[in-house]
Amino acid sequence: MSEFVFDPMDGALRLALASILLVFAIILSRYRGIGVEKELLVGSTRALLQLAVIGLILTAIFENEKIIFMALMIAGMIVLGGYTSARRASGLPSPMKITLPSIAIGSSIVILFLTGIQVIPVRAEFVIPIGGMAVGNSMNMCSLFLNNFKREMQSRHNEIEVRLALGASGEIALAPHLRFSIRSALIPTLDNLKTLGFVFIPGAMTGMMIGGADPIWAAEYQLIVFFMIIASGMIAMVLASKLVSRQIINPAQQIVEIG
Amino acid sequence: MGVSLEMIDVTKRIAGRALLDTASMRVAAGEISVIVGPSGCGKSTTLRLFNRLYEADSGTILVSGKSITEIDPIELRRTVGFIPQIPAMFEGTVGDNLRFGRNLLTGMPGQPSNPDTEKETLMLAGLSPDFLDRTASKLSVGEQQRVAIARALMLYPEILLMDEPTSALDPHSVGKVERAVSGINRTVGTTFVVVTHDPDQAMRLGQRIFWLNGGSLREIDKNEVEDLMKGKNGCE
Ligand SMILES: Nc1ncnc2c1ncn2[C@@H]1O[C@H](COP(=O)(O)OP(=O)(O)OP(=O)(O)O)[C@@H](O)[C@H]1O
Ligand SMILES: [Mg+2]
Repeated sequence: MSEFVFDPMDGALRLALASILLVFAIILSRYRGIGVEKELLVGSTRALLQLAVIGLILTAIFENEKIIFMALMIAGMIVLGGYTSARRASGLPSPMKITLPSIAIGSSIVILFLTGIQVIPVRAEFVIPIGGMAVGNSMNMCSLFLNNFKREMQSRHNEIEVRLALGASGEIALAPHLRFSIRSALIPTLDNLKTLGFVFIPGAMTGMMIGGADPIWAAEYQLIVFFMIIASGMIAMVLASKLVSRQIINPAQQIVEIG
Repeated sequence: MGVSLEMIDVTKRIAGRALLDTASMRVAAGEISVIVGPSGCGKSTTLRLFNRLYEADSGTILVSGKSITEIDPIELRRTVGFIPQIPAMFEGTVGDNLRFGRNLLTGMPGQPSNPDTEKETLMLAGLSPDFLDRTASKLSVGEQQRVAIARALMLYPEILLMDEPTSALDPHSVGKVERAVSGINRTVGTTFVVVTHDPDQAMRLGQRIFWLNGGSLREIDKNEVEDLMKGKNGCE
């Protein structure tokens, strides 16, 4: 095990020292006229408060170990993820009705699967961080997908219309564009997968190693996390693509104009 | 054989402006009709109402006497072909583009249709059969416009809506496309509705000419075309 021992005073001191880096970034921003000083300051303060609150909540849940609290916590993450991703899809008739069910189903399936086959124990300190990664990554992929698809709808509008005019159903007319948007949304994850460990040492593995875990064990969990991220993201995007088609093409097989 | 097309008291508003305001027009089966009018007045919109890519706010559109809202939209669009103002090519070759509509019908994507049909259709649209294996997106706009015509013809529509089909063509190719339209109309009997900016083309092709401006469609005489088109530049 590592020499890392939790000590609140020590922690506050470490944080204060590390925040010199932030001060450095703020000075640079000011000096070069980049103009993000205020955002950096407000953002970091907010992050500090958010993490403090979450830290307290997690401590309470970890001590309690009730499944209902874990479920509530994950549900909260899903709602926040759905809301955040929906903002990427502004202009669609009802974006929340796309992002919320997609992220909810995508992440729930993988969490239930992994705990069901006992790869992950049903313990808050496992379920919550790993569940958070599933939700967060489904959210990211969902946002990327919707953003790509909105751009496709604008730049390839004529092509989609011609397919409809040749007697294609909305589903067929949109299919190549939905596929392209999903594929593009997967690019960052696929690139990370290819260089996993060499270029990109992801959060889960970093965290476990800092926490003193054996690197092999950390690597094993990292791979599990990656499979989970890809599966939940794919499920979320495929669902989102079905739901978005229904909002974009009406029953008369017409394109619904988006903002 | 072509079928008739009728618009009765149709209103269509876009962005608060009535492009059509209780407008009516009638095209008999097997006729070539032309719509002319200032830019931005709703000619393209009118064509999209006929194959229900757009929905009318009120009024009725009849194809062969039947309201288009009572026809399955997919069936309707196979009967009423549409060639948009800006040609959009699908990925792949000209052949792939031509086969798209047919493959939907047979439900077998990628299945080659009769190559002779494809070649004949290309020639009918004024392109040499050698184009079949060319990459569609790499063709010139004028060539793409003719591929778009051939692509629509592959479904043997009863009515063909053409939105400025020759706007990107040189006079020689314009002649080819116009002869194709007249030829298809004469031999197959397809009904045509053609939108154009060219008064001469309107007079050469149109057996009936409609003037669209300020929300109304009015049938005009051939000798009115030139004056109306020269006189007005904007939309009322
Ligand atoms: N899908 C749409 N969304 C927003 N505005 C539209 C849409 N379709 C048409 N319009 C608007 O409706 C008006 C009429 O457009 P339309 O393309 O029918 O004109 P047009 O007579 O074909 O013009 P042109 O001769 O320049 O092709 C224009 O002001 C156009 O901006
Ligand atoms: Mg137009």
